[in-house]
Amino acid sequence: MFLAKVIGNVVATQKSPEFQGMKLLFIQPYINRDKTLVPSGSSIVAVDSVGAGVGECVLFTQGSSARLTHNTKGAPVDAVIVGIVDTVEVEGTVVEKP
Amino acid sequence: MFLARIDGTVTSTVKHPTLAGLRLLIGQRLEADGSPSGDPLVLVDTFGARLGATVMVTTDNEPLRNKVGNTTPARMLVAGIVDQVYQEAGR
Repeated sequence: MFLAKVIGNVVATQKSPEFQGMKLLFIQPYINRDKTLVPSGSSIVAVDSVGAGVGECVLFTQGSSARLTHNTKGAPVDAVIVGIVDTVEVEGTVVEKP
Repeated sequence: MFLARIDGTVTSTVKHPTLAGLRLLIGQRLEADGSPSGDPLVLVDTFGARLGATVMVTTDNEPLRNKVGNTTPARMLVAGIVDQVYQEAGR
């Protein structure tokens, strides 16, 4: 699993029918730079399974395991948000909701 | 999944038998600011995505394996055509 910041919503009318009713969020993974989390790297479209929103720090998983959450079964999903992060501690320093 | 822009089509006569009849497109992965990133990709499309369209690409080829068999080498599929991306203010 990885940490990411939710940076937006994705809207698609024409999509695989399995995606019907799923919330698609646009996320950017965090990297650890001098004990602070900085959104960096390629942005990802992930299905939300926990009710996350824009601006939040989330836990996400990629690969075929993304298909295993309660609301992504059978869908061609390769990234899913599986948690909303409250705090992160990096090398003894607590990083508040980044 | 990630976002990509459709830049063109690919035709191939001699190819893996599981790719017969599939529509192949050239896609370019996009970053949050709309800039391209990485190498061009060959995508399998079942939606009829048009040139210049922004699509959502999945690397889960299970739907394709169900359709053409487990031996298919194709991995990236167009999973949907993106209408709009709403981003937080300041981006």
